Amino acid sequence: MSTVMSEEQRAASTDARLVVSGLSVRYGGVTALDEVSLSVMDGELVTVIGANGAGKSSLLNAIVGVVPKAGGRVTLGGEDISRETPEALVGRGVVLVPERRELFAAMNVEDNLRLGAFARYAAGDREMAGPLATVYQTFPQLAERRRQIAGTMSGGEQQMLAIGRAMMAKPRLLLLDEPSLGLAPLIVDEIFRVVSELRAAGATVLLIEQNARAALRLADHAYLLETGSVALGAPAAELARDERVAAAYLGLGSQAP
Amino acid sequence: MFDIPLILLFEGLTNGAIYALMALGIVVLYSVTGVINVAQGEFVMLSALSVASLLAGQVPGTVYLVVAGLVLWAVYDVIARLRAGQPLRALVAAVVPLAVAAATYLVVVLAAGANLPYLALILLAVALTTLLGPICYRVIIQPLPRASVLVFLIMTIGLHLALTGLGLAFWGPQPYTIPPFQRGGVRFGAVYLDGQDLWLFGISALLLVGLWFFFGRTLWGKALRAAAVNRLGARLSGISVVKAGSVAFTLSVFLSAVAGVLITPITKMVYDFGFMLGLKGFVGAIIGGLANPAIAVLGALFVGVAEQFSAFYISSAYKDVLVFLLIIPVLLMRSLQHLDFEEHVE
Amino acid sequence: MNAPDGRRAAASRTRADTVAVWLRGGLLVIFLAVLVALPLTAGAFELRLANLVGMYGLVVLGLVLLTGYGGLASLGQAAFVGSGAYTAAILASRFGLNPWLSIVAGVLLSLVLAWLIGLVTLRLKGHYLALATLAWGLVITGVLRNWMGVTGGNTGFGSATGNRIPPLTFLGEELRGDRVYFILVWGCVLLALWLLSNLLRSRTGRAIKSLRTGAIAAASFGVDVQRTKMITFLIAAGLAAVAGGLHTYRELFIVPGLAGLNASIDYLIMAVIGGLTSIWGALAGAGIFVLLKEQLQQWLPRIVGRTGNYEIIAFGFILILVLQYARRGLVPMLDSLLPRMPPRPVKHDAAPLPAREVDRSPGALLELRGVTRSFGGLTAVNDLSFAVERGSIVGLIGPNGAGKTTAFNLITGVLSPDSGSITFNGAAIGSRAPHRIAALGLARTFQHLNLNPGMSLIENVALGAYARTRSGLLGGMLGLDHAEEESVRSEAVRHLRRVGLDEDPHARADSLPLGKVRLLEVARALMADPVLLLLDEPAAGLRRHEKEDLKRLVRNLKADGVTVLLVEHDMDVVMDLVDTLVVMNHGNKLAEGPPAVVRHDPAVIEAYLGREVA
Repeated sequence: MSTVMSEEQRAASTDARLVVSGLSVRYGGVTALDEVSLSVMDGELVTVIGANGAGKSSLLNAIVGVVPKAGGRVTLGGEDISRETPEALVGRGVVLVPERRELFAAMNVEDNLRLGAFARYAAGDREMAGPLATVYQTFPQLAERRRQIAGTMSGGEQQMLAIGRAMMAKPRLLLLDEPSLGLAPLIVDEIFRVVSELRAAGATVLLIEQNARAALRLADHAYLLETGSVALGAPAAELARDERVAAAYLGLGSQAP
Repeated sequence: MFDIPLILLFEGLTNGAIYALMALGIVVLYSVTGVINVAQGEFVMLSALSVASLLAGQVPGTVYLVVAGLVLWAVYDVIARLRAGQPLRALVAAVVPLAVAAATYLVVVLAAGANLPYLALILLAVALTTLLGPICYRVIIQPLPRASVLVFLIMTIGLHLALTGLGLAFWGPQPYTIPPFQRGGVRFGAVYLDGQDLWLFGISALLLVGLWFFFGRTLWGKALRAAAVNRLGARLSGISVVKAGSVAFTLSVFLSAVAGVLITPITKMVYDFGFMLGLKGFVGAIIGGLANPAIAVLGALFVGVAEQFSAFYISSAYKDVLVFLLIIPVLLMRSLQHLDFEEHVE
Repeated sequence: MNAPDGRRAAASRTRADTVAVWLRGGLLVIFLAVLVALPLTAGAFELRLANLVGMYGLVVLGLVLLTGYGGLASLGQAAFVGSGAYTAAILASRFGLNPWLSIVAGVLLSLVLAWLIGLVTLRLKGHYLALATLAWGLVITGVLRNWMGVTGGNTGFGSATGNRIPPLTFLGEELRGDRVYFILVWGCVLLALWLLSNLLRSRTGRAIKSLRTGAIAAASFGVDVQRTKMITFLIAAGLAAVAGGLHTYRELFIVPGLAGLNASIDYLIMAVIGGLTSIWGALAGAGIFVLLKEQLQQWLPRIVGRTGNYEIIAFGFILILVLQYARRGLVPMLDSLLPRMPPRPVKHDAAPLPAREVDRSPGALLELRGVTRSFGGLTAVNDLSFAVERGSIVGLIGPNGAGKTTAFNLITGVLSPDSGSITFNGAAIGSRAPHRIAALGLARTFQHLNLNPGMSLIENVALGAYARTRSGLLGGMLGLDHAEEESVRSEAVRHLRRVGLDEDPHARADSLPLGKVRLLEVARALMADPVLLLLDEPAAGLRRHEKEDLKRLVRNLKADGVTVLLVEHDMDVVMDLVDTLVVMNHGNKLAEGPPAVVRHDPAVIEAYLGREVA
């Protein structure tokens, strides 16, 4: 299917897993997100890029319910999830890997991973061995450090653990908030390799990234966020060629107010 | 030659075991919810005096607390559901707590009248008191999700006052006692441990092992620890922080309730005695930094023993003073370890 | 704003102000009238209660200052009541000291005690401090209960137990009986009210109020935080000790319960009910408590059918309910219903504050050499070296997590470097405390809110001049600081005008939207008359035209001779504002130079846009 759809067509499509319409986030007197609309198709990797302060983290936090929505709707497979709590959404297969990872630093790797499965465990799906093996296969460094306390690991290892923990929940939609943040280039390569593998295995991913080039190479579809609004939404390859991306990051030109 | 120190040691460990149960309850609750429960000791009193009432064939005042609390719970839930625009779920929310309240009341009234065996009465009293755990959480803590540690502390001071006063109203100022679980005892040289002492050590040890297993080996226990360690991370892993808080409060009250029925055959119970026990449990908990249960238990045992030794060798009048003086250097050390460079508003 | 609208707005403000003055003034007059009428017309019982309210009120005033304004929780204030009471009683009874002097001695001893306790416990934070004060209270009460020989133990101390306490005498008359005592007690209360209101409006008061919402910010303007905490603690202890002395001479008999935990909890209840952040709330809370307790003690035992102190049940529930539903307390809530009191006018011809000479000589004003700082295993700043030329605008930029905030905190003294040196105007500042660095001419703004939301814009800005002003505790309390305060306020308005916030300088800071709060922070920093101004993400949350205003402001500052170092994410703001850019990533410096050069540096581009993934 190589037809390029408009944003409205995407949102209306039956393949749309996640649809965000008119989402706004405000705190204090500041509007962090102003009526943002985007969509993620089943099996797609969508990335949202933009400079710092563009509102990217607010987007994921609002989708999942960590910060309150000042307006707009979020639907998952057609069902309205705008008022769900983050913990309830995990049960529905929407898992966020947050910007600061938010690991259980005092607990070891294996416990962190097992806890990722808590929602489905409490609901009856007790399968642990299989998913754990998959995570350890994907991240051999974690397998070596099963009993290591999470807080003592390096930034890259922690990021892998955070993604692994999310994988344990058997997510249908994976939300990644700047996974490359603060990591050395080699580790970043590995993280992106894993994300690409996850996508190849059929996962649906919404990726927020500051590293625009890498993200655009990985993604199917992309949105450029600027000061709280979607400036561009297009297939990733198109966006990668667009000069406005560089301008947004490096201030090489002004946009109309 | 070692007779006296040995006796003091066992006496200290006996009290220390109780303080340890309290300290554990305090640490579990604080680490998961950030609530320092000044009323921790009142639940000791409530369970003990409930047993005393049941033994005398009377309905313990605790049941009225439970019923009132459940009614409030129903009110809060109904309001929350109506606000969320879910009138049908509001109906369910009203019915469940009220049904539990009615059932509890019936069971307790029947039990008071019937001639149940001692063990049953103890279990009933502990269960009844433990019900206050989730109730207190729902009614006092849950409505204020973003309150600071200090605000919670002051609210539990209010809870302490209310429960102490209600204890006085229900049972009066006189001491009560309940029979020991088992008469007869064992002699270790100079030390005589009677049946209740053995039960005390035994059950405390059992509880400690049970908790160690729960927190260390079950996913549920780990989830509670996770909620304590990283609230946001827990929510993003599907762990409901509200449910975790409720479970923590319930566990905490359960430990106090058990402590109550263990200690009362030895020392008797008065309406305001629980508070002092709670304070000493606090000292133990603070030694553990309010976060480390193992050190809190050891700290509490130490407090119990130190209390006995200082009472005998230094001054029995000042034994409380010496115990509380212990808090200061410990707090100082602990506070220095928590130095943030960004001081936050309380 | 059109002239007619402006005039209409001003007219309605004046009307509101007149109403406010009459209403509030009227309430004050009623209060004073009641105070005058009571000793003349009330019965012995009412006067007894009134005296209790007064004595409790003194303690709660201290608690309001300490906890409500200073943010230092105390569960042991009653201990100082006890130390004041017992010292006075013992000295007068056993050593024959003049009763008035014995009260003074009680206060002095309590202050020494508070100072010792404060040395150990004031470094503790939040709930730790509360627990420590709880412990101290229990220790002191324990001593009072058990030191039988000196204090008489649990049975109390006074004539009834064989230690005759001579009553206070004034002009030959014995001050006995509640009617006469009323004048003494409420005289003290009124004096305390006056001193505390003055204090809260003064320079020291600003420092105390800043303890609660941002000690770091206060330190960056020269406030010695530990010393300020100690002052607050001592004042509260002193007030409690005075109340203790008054207790002694009213009853001529005291018991250890005066110092006990239950009493401390009572004072806390009074403060919470009346409003922890209000000195009038202290009195209202004490009044409500005494009257309510009186009634409950009458009725509750009848309901229960047995004697006993059941009123604690009511107070327990009240404490919970107030904190859940009316956390500010009674008086602040009522206060918000009344029209706001018109603010003191600002004298625009006030004498200017001492200002620094502007040094425009070329050279490096701030220099970092090889600065490194790690946290645990993470190296946040690694061998960082750069210089800020005098009179220039330097931008410190870098992607998220680059170490900019750590660098900022190292420069301002919040953190100290593991290695390397930082020199400012030739002086080494690497290991100095923030409040000492402030005195050298360095001022900063903060990324996260560090203003006092309850204070007005002028008051918030005024804190910035802390290091330039002199008036101390006594001057503040006695109201001797008028001239300096006027200079401060007029300069504060000037700076508010400079940043564009002068529309309503007396508005509360929490009425400003987040974007404008940043400008308020800049105004406050300017109040410090800085040589080097450090701006922490000043453009965050600003709208387009606000960013242009900010750029214009910074350029004006440069023209005035202020050197500026800013951390910023917003490239639009930074690129055409700064003279030099320093780019950081992963704690290292990537590039340093003019923006036009740096933006084309491949390493910089890669840091921001990312590299091609293999």
